[in-house]
Amino acid sequence: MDWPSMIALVSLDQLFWLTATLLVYVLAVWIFKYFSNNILLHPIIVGAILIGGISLVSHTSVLDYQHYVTPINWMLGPITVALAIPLYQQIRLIYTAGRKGIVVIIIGGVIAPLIAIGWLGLFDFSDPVRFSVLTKSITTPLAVDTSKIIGGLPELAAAVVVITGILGVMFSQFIFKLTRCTDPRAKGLALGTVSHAIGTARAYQLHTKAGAFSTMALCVNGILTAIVLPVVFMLFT
Amino acid sequence: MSKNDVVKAILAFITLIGFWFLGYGLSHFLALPASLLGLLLLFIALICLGRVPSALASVSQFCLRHLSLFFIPPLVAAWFYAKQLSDNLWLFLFAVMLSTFVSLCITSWLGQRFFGSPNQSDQQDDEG
Repeated sequence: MDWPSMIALVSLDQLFWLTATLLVYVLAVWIFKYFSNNILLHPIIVGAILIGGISLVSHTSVLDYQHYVTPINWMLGPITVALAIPLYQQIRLIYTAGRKGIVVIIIGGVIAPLIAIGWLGLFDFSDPVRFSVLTKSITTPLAVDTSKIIGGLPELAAAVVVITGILGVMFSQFIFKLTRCTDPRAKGLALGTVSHAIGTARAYQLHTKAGAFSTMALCVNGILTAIVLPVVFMLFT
Repeated sequence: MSKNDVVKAILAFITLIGFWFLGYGLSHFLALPASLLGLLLLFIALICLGRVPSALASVSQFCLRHLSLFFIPPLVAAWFYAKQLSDNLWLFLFAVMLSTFVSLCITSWLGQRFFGSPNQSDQQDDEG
């Protein structure tokens, strides 16, 4: 990037949209709490709708908005690194849960993307769109990076991750009854494996033990998927 | 929060950024995501250290609690793709829905088989 465009990056528009995103986030969190954590009013959904509304009113295109808020994306990398701390804190849990826990995580982590890409394979979708669902069950920052490496669309991948997280939490209550899942550890594993960070937030509401297992599943599935997918793509393409 | 704590928190955040850059440097040699490599490097460093410095623990907890903020821009961007997919949008969303449903069924069922013991009173564990 050359100097004039670097300087142009720091503009009033940028300052406005960064502030707006932060304010909208604070408001969305407050709304979420006010409606006693109703998953349909998750801060991500409310936040995105509010930002969408503001950009419509101010005639700002979505692409311009993305350009303005790039500093937020810069912070995503270091924050992903922060996942090392819960992973380290759960290490004893990973030992005790042992092979059983890892088996559940791996099976869940393999089945979800395979079903999604299998279904999309039945219809006429372009390859980048198809590859964007492969990272659906891992936390957004890892999904975005992995999607870039395997040739998916990072923005679409991020949206798929968010939708998966919210759907997973919505379905979970019903599914736990269906599969007669009562153990908090099993609930945590399922939520963390399928619905990453959004599921983990939900798991912590259910039980601290569920939250701990969910954190472990989120870390293990995220790391394994982010390692396995690029390797598989390197070998077969 | 004293002045000392603020300095420690800033140092902890700089540590995270530093490890990300280490991961970024390593990603030129290994075709893996930079943030994943940074994560693994920090994880190894924590194992060597044998504990989590308290400032690092509180900073990372704060950041991870507000992870949702970082999901807002990509979800806004997804609107752009939703328009492009137009007719196929529902087929696409169904793929996400179906895979989420099935994988959640399988993981919770397996998890319950492995961890749940029907004889024990799970109710007391389940009260939360």
